[in-house]
Amino acid sequence: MSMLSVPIQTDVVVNQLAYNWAVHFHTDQAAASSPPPPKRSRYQHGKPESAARKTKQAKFWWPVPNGILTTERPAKIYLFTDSKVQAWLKFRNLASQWRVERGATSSITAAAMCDAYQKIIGMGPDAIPLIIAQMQSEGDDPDQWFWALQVLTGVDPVAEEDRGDYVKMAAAWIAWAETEEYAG
Amino acid sequence: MPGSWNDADFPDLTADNHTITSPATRRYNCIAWAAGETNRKWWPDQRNIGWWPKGVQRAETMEAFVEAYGTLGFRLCFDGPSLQPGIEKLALCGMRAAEGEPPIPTHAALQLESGKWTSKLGDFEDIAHDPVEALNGPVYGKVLYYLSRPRS
Repeated sequence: MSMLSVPIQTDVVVNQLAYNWAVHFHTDQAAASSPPPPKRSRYQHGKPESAARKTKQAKFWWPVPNGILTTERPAKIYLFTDSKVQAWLKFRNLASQWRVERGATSSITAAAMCDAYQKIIGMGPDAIPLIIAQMQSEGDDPDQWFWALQVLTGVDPVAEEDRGDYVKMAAAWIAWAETEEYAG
Repeated sequence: MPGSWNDADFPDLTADNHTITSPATRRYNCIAWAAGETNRKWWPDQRNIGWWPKGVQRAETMEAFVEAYGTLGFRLCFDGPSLQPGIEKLALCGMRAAEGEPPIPTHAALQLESGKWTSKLGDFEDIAHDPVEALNGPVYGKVLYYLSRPRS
């Protein structure tokens, strides 16, 4: 029995198979994603396209605590974020509360004793980079974050002659934070 | 134009008895403003955050504040808020945290040559007001001492 030996270019075969698969795949996808538009009755009011979309609309899954998802819209909407974002949101919220709480006081001590400020200190070392970032964002009108930073870090990088000068004090703390790799 | 402060903090401050004289800033406070400084805050807090004159006791007492302004030539005076030619007056406000406790300093206002008073309200705006008692209320208490020095 004689055998016919024919050289085959394998790369051509593979490319053709891939091409066939791709054509079939895309054709199937296109068919599935674009159903024929529903016929519109002359007596039908409204837009048939939107009606069709409405029936196919996926249910929204609302997150609630304990990792449960529900299709029923809860009374309270929960925003789940990672812990760093949660800490930042908490810090920003407390900072806003603090500014309201301290009002027109001129006392550095009274401002630091405000409940919201003490809660920022209560966030522990996680608050340090948040305070530094906040201080950086405040530019040439920094707020009184020095008390909290002293408590949280146990250090005070401010030169004696710069006491009370918040711009210079903030610069000293930002320089310290960069050295300690707290600054963003 | 209304200020940034909460009106409830100053029940006696009305549109007729004050004007805003400079924008809000955190760079100085009322104690520094009355001392003529606008680049740092004066306060004798125990964490050394505020600036305080050297040699003056770092304590939140009326006596320490009188002593601090004493470094600028102010002395206690007992003739009230009346305007006197050639004399610059300073009003020191205070409030008791509880009945029977000594008053804690809260605010200082400086008398202008016009007879009006100038005050920095916390981290809010500076105002010119008349009378000096317009700032009496739940935040600053009331004027407890007047100090004076020759006007330069």
